[in-house]
Amino acid sequence: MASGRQRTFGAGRWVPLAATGILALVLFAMPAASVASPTSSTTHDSLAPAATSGLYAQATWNGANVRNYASATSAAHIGFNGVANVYYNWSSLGGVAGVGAPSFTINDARLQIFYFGFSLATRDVVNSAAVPATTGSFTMNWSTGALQYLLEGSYKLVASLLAPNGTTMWSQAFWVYVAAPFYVGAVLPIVLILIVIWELYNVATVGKYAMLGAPKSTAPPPSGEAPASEPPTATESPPPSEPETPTPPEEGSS
Amino acid sequence: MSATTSGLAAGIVLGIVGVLLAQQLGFLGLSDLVRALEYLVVAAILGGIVFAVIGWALGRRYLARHGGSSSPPPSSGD
Repeated sequence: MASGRQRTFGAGRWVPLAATGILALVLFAMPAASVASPTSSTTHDSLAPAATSGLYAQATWNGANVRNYASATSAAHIGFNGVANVYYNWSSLGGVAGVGAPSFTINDARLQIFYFGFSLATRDVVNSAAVPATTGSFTMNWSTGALQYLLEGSYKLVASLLAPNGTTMWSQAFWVYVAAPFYVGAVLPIVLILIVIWELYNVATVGKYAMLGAPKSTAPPPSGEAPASEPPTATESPPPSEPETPTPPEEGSS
Repeated sequence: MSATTSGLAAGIVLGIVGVLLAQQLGFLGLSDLVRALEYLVVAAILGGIVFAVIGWALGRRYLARHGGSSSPPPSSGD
């Protein structure tokens, strides 16, 4: 009985461990394709308006500068099925009275959402007919898409402007809180809560499995008599033999 | 698997899951890989230690209450 319970317990213990491992693999494998993205290695932690080679740019999230959402505690909020208007505006610095300022060719406005350092999703607004200019703007209506059914919580987003050759001309990081229906109505938090409940149940019932490791020989007999394993001494009387069962009378003797 | 080992395994899982759940509820940011791994490793170690102690204590209490015998209890006729 004990070994059977031990086997059952041992197998059951691996279920949440395996689930956690599979979850970690999914989380790391899902955005693996984005590792090769040329923008993933850019320095996007700068919170000051970037002025790379005379380029000044900023992005707004529903009208507010994304610099206001510089940390997870001051993140912007997007509801379930919500759409945010992200507006990119860039201009060229330098020259005298606007004359002689360098021109830039910006053809791509990009917004990436990051999780564990990898890009979960990338959205682009591409201007295929971009020409060198001193000012420009892009408008993007951004939503979490299918991710809203899977994830919620605070995530870092990176807004960036790219040149036609893929060079990141400007980027800025900010934080967004993605809400789920009924606060925990996404798949991942539900799975995590179920794992927590399962593990707490296992911890609450873990005491009974201490019996499996207890030595059997140290157990005192319940009635206070000598243990059965103790050898009998010579002075003791031999154990009484079992009473013989009376043989039934033969048929026909009466 | 003893009660201490069971508590250790449960604590590691609870530590990792707790960090992931805290991020899902908006209390943590796990967008940076190094910082996220630091959170996960520290939480797994702390959870393992805490719940190993809890498992050990629960095992001791159960053995104290039930005599530490794995034999079946005596019947009323003995």
